[in-house]
Amino acid sequence: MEIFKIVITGNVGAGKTTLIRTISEIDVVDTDRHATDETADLKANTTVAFDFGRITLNSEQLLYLYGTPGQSRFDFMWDILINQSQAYVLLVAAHRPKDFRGAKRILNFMNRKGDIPMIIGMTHTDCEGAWEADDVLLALGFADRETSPPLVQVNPEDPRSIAQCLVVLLEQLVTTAAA
Amino acid sequence: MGIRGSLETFSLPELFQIIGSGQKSGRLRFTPHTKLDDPQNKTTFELWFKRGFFVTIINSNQYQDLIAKIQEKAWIDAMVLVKNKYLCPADKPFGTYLKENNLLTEAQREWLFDQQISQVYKLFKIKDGSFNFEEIDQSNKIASDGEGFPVREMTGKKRKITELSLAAMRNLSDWSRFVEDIPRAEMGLQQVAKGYDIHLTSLEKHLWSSANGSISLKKLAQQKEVDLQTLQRTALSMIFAGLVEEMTVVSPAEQFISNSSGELRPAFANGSNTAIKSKAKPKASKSLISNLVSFLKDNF
Repeated sequence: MEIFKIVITGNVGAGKTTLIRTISEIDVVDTDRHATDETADLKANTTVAFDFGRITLNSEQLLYLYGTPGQSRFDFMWDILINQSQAYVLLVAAHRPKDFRGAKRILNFMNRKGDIPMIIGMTHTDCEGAWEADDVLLALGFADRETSPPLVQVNPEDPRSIAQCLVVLLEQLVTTAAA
Repeated sequence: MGIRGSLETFSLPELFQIIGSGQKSGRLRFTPHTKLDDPQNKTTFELWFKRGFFVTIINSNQYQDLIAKIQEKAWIDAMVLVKNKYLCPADKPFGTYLKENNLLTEAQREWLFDQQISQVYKLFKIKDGSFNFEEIDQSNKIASDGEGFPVREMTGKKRKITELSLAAMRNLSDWSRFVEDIPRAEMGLQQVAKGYDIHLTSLEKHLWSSANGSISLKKLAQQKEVDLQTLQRTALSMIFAGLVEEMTVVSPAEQFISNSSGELRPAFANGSNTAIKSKAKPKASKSLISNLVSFLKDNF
């Protein structure tokens, strides 16, 4: 059995669990628990270990999706998951600039732990106060659009939008491998 | 479109970093929120940037501040000053024009610019306020109101945002609003700028030279015999200035990873932020990737 593993990471409330639930063929195995810290301001429950989703391509090939916890105190889980995976998507909520530094921290962590292809998935782009893609990239430390990772807008509730995002990630993987 | 928000969601040094790293030109309107929120007492500051450099600041309560300061100092006769205000070309900073006409010395122009810089430092101390950054368009105007660079308030001097932000952070005494941003003691630093061409303090230089991701801030503080909190704050200032970034510490032993020929090579060869691979990942076959792309395109 051949399995391709993708990590979906990002801050609390960026849309990781929703994305995996939307596209997974199985009921997502989640480890959500009632939020008792500042996360409770954003959502009632939060992921404390990881979310797991699956897509079966054929009898021999599978796609596994792992959603990381958003809070940095669970970074040991980020470590475990990124070491198991072949690519990752960093979800960033465009309307929540307060979280951009946190997203940058996750990005630094992931890039340090695993030299694997990645893209940025920008969510909540239709919300009030959403930032432009170029400014989000600058906030994440990418001053040069030419050398920054691909950034795509993604709606975590829309399977088609997620599929397009994952295709861009796979294309990035092919490009990286060719280079 | 611009960047709009409040200090609750995005801090001034972070905003400065974006304007600087994006080499943006435009106007940052900043309105501090007073506790009483008295509309009579509402001051708005306009900070102007040109290709990532700070060029001037205007306080809405101080009309013609540059001219007022020159008059205060009695450096130029009032009548001569007013006459030259109208003679100055619309695209030339007033300070430059006065200097070119030998009405202002370089030291005086420098002093005027320093006064503007000190106003920016004060803004960094404000805890609550709203901002709106709008970029200059191709015709050198702000699209929303057609305003151009305020040349009458410009000395003609400019300051690199990195330098301005770092100096403003050094002057900060209350760090309470940056609590969540302060890098943790077990984190390390990694250089993200190619180098620096601004003045750094001795501690900043030490942090810069140690920023290779192999030593924690806690150990650095012990080595340098500096209070950990001071070191963490300095690190954050340098992060905001775009010089370094916080990183998970990787031990020196881990910095050598095996390549395919079995040789050991440093992970940070060429100064690049090469990732540390703790184990080799299974490679996906071409067939898997191709099938996956087709599946995603055909089934959703």
